[in-house]
This record gives sequence, C-alpha cells and structure tokens, in this order.
Amino acid sequence: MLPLSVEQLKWFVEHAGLIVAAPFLAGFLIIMGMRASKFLSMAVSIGAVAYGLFHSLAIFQALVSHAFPDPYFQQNIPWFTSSSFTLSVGVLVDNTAALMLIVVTSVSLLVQIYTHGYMRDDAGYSRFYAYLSLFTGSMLGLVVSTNLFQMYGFWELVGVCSYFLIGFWWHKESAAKACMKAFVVNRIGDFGFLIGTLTFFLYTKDFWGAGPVLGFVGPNGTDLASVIHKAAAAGALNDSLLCFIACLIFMGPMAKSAQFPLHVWLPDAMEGPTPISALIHAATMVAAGVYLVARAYPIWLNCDGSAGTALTVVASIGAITAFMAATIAMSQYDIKRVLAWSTCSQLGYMFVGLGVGAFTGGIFHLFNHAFFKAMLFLCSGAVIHGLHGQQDIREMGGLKKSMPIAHICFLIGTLSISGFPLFSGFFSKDEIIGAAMVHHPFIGWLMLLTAGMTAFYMFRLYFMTFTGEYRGSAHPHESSAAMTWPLLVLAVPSILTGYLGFNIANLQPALAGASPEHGLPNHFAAFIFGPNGPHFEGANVTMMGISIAVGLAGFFIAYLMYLTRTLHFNKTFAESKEGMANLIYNMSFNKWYMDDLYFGIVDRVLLPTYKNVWTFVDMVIVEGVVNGVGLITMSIGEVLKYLQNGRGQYYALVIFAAVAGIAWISYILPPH
Amino acid sequence: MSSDSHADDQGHGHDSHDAHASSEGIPESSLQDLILKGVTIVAAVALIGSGFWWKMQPLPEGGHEAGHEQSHEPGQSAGQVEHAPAH
Repeated sequence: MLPLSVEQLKWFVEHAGLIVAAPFLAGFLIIMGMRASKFLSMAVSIGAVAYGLFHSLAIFQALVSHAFPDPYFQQNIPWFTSSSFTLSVGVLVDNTAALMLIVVTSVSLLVQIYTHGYMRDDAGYSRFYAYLSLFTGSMLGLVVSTNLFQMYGFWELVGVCSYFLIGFWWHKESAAKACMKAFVVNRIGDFGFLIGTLTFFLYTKDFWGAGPVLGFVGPNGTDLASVIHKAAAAGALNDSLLCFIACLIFMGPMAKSAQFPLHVWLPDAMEGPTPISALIHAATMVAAGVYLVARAYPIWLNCDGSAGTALTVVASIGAITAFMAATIAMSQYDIKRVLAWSTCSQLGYMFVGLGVGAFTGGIFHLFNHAFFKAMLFLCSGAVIHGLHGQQDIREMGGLKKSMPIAHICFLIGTLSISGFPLFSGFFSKDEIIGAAMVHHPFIGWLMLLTAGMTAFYMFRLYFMTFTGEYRGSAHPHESSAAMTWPLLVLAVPSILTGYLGFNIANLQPALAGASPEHGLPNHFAAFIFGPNGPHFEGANVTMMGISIAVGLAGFFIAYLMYLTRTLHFNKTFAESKEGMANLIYNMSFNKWYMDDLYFGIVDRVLLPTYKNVWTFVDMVIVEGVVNGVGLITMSIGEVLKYLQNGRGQYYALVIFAAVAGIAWISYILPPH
Repeated sequence: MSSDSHADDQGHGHDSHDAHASSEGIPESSLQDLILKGVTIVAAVALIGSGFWWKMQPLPEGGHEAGHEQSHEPGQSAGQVEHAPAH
C-alpha cells in the first residue's frame, strides 16, 4: 500500500520507538514554550501523531506482507539492575501491537483535528494539545511495552494525563471533582495491578533466564506462558496462586476499563472537553485494560494453559458490567453520559469475549468499537457545539435537518454499536455472544439481552436527538469542516472494519447446515494468531438470526416509544410512584445507587474511621512521644543538675570512683 | 443536568499558563483549517486504503486445531510458546 521497499519497511519495524517518542517530544515542546503560538502547538501535536499513523501503517504493512519475516520485534535496554535481576524497558512490536498502534494513532489524529474546530476559541487551546500529545504518547508506550513493569509505568502516565484532561476546565467544581474521582478510583485498581505484578515476580523471579523479566515474549522459553509452566513444574506456582495473582492484576483493567465495581469514574469523566471524551472512550485509557488482559493472557489461564477460574472472573465481571451499564443508559438524558454508559457496556462485551475464549472476538470488538465510539462522541460534541453547550436530549430533537453530517454519522455509529447486520459491531459482538453461548450459556443469554437493550438505548438517543421537532431554544447549526470531516473519515471504518473479521465463504456452508465449529480463516483472526494458530470458526447463522431479532426488537420498541410515540412504557416507568416499575426506573436512573453507596461508605464509615485513627495516632502516639521525650529529658535534667555543685573534692571523688570502677571491671572481665 | 462548559469558557483563560498563550480565536477559514483538511484527506486515504489493501491479501490455506503458535525473536532459532484461548 505505502510505496516502501522491504528494507524501508524493516527499518520502520526496528524503529517503532519513534512512534512513542514523537508525541512525547511534541508535548514537551508545547509545554516548554511553543504554547505561545496556537498554530505551532497544533501543528507540532498533529504532526507528531500523523507521523505516528504513517509509521504504524508501515509496520502493519511490513508484518502483513512478511517484509519483516519474524513474528515480532523486541528490543530492550536495562533500566534497573540488582544483583539478582534486571528490569528492562524497550519496544515490542507484534501483530496485536501493530493493530493497536493504528487504532491509537488514527483515532488520536482525527480527534486532534476535531479539537482544532472544537477548542479554537478556548484560551487553553495550546495546553490542551500538550496534554493530548502526552496522553497519546503514554498510550502508545503502553502498547509497545515489553514487560509488565514497563506497562505499569505507562499505565500510570495514562492515568495522570487523563486526570489533567478530565479536569481541563478545573475552575468548574464538577470537573475538579470528576478528575479527582477518576484518579482515586484508578489508584485503587492500580494498587491491585502493582501488588499482583510484584507477587507474580516474587514467585517467578528465578525462571526468566536471559529474557526480559516479566516480559510478554522472549527467547528460549522466557515468554510469559513458558515461565509460568516452568515455575509450576518447579513447584513455585500453582493454579490457585496464579488465579489469585490474576485477580489482583485484573483490578487494574477493572478500574482503567471501567468495569463493575470500579466503573463509577467513567460517566463523570464527561466533564472534560468532548474531544478527550472521545479519545478516552475509544482508543486510549479504557482500551488499556482490555489490551493488558489480551497481552498478558497466560496469567489468566491455568498453569498448564487451560482455561481456569480467573477467566471466569473476567467473563463474569464483563457480563455484569455490560448488563448494568445498559440498564442505566436506558434512562439517562445527558447525550454524553448515555454514550459513556454504552462504553462501559461495550467494554464488558470485550471482557466477556476474552473470558469465554473468544480471544480474537474481544480484540476485534475493541478494534471496531474504537472507530464507531470515537465517531459517536465526536458527533455528540458537534451537537453540543451546535446547541451552544446543551447536553440534555429532552432539549434537542429534529437536528437531522440542521446537522445533516452529524446526523448521518451518528446513525451509522448507532447501527454499528447496536449490532445491525452488515455494520462492524454486528460481526464482533456476534462472535462474542456465540462463544459465550457455548462456554457460559447464562452469560451468553445475558449478553443477548444486553444487545437488545443496546439497540433500544442507542435508538432512543438517536430518535430523541435527531428526529421529531426541535424542543430547545438555541439555533442549531452544523459545525465547521475541522469538526465534520473527521466524522466522515470515521464513518468508513465504522461500517467496513467488520468485514476484516468475517469470511463470506463461511456463509454458504453455514446456510447449508454445516456446523459452525470449523470454518475458513478471516483476515483479522489470521493476523492475530498467524497461519498456524487456533482453529477458525465458521458462521453461526442461528446465532446471527437470534442476535438480529433481539437487536430489531430493541430498535422497534425505541421506534414506537420515541418516534411514533404509540407505546408509553417509558412514561409508565418514569411516572410511576410505587411498585416494581418505580423501583426499576429509580435503579436505572440512579445508576444502581453505586455512587450513593460509595459516598455513603466514604462519608459514614471511612472518613469517621480515618478521623478516629488520625486522632489516636496524632494526639496519643505522635504528641505522646514528643511530649514524653520532653518530659523525660526535663526529669533527668532535674536529677542530674545536683551533680554539678562546684566542689573540687566532690569531682575528685567522682573521678576516683570512675577509675576504680573501670579497674574493677577490667579485673573481673575474662582475658582475651 | 451537567453541561459541557465549552460555550461558557470560550476566550477566557483560567490558568496562568494559558495567559501566555494568545487568547484570540482562530477564524474558521484560516490557513490552519486548510492544512487540516489536507491532513484529514491524506489520513483517510492511508487508513482506508490500508484496510482495503489488507482485505486483498491472500488468507492462509486453512485453520488448525486450537493449540500453540510458534514465535521467535529475530536471530533466535528456538521458539516461544504463545497460548491460544484454551476453550
């Protein structure tokens, strides 16, 4: 595709670190002085990520065309050396990383172009570009990390940058609280990640040989899976311990990818400017958790490589989150918050995919979701921009006439996320639900129900925003080209990327009644696993049919409620004052009371406990020690002051007694 | 209702760091917009073109049973074992 020779393609693979370095350099240049010029800030930031996209596409081309013949490229330099081990940092490029590099750089580039239109009048324009560059660089560093320690470092950098970006309008109290909430919740998850990583290191430290410690891949059996096998064979590790470690590390993805019960920060993160909402929800931050589970997948397996309890935990957490977030999204009125809850839900699908063994399905949904969710968020930003800050969908309606580009792109995103046939979300979601049905039928049915709910809340959002009559008081207008062109670009992959993970040749045998267990490979799965990878599944037309029917049911209910308004269940629920309908509506509207629960625990349990502990430690222990030392010193001084009496005979007596005492001690001590 | 404060904050610096930056808005028909349109087109062609190019690449002959994927570092003959989903 790119007109590059084999040697040039190899060069790009072997210099993948430049993709990470470029946005970091751009961020520092802006901070160090370039921020004085809006044009320079924008140019250097967008230039860096555009270079990253070009470089990423070259790497992808090298790996697909086998111009770079090895399955991966890895380069490490020592970072911390002790007598028994060396921690290293480096760059790892393989097929999974290559795809993620494209996702991160392409979405970030389009978001940064959009930012120019969205933030052009904001005084913090340059600062925002600096943060965007650092955020993108941190995520890219995470993607190419060679080991868990390095990934943890970039993981934290992503968290710090998201703190700055969510709280970008820090003078707003809600934004300041939201960034603090995101930071604190992520620290809880990160603590688990760190403790899990250190525990894993503790039990495997003797088995890394010449490979990078805690490395994902390595020579001569020093990759993650082989080290686990060796540690288990030597008795240093067993399935229970590995499961415990996996659950600890999984706390990190639970927080970063907003999974129950550490999901509460994500909807509040909408306080940041919309471009950053798009970036966080599509390609960076939330994707990091899914990527970590995929990258360090052997940790979530048993020691012998079979599926174990940890994978069930991953699938269960994902299923709970997907269902819970979908129920909440159905009753929200803030356009960005509905999308935020949909992100929680879709991330749940990805974890279900990874947890039930649909490994490529999980990554494929991450890949598809990145494009259509970025587009949906940018569309919502265009709507908010066109309505001068209005986010309540009850004050919208009829915007398809005044915002035709945002309308058509939002519709494409809605169809895709709802799993409408022939759109990208259909293929990946179907793969996940199909695998869940086989291995965990309950989770499978729950995901199917959630798919119907997804179609309902997304079309509710679409109908309330773009159809009917305009209910607000602003003067809606389409946004500038800088904001609409990125939407049009994202619309293309939002429709088409699904076909990369689907082989149409599988359809004919499936329609003829062939079993879906075995089929022909598709481009996505073959790229992730390589030609000698696992078996490829065929099309499951029964599951496709059920999935389409459930999605259509969600669509029709939304259609009858919010477009034709012939069905009034929504009013029945919203206006009910008692009974089950009232309970269900309040649960949904109040986000399952999770915030109330957490704030209740913090306000009524943690803070009073902390205050009591603080009072005890500060007043009793700290002040007690300080005052006690002073009192003792004063008392000793009071006694000793009488020894200082100014009489020569008394001093001579003391000296004599001391000399006699030393002589006596010397006498009674045994000779050496 | 929470609101995106974009509209409220236009043109007002709230950070001393921002005070160094120009607080003037950028007109919609500026040179920057023109350059960005070009960048958008090039990025779109590269991204979408790569997708189509990938789809045109031949697929492997067929799949194998779930198991292992052999992989190795450049210059290494021995392989590392990467586990496929074990279900």
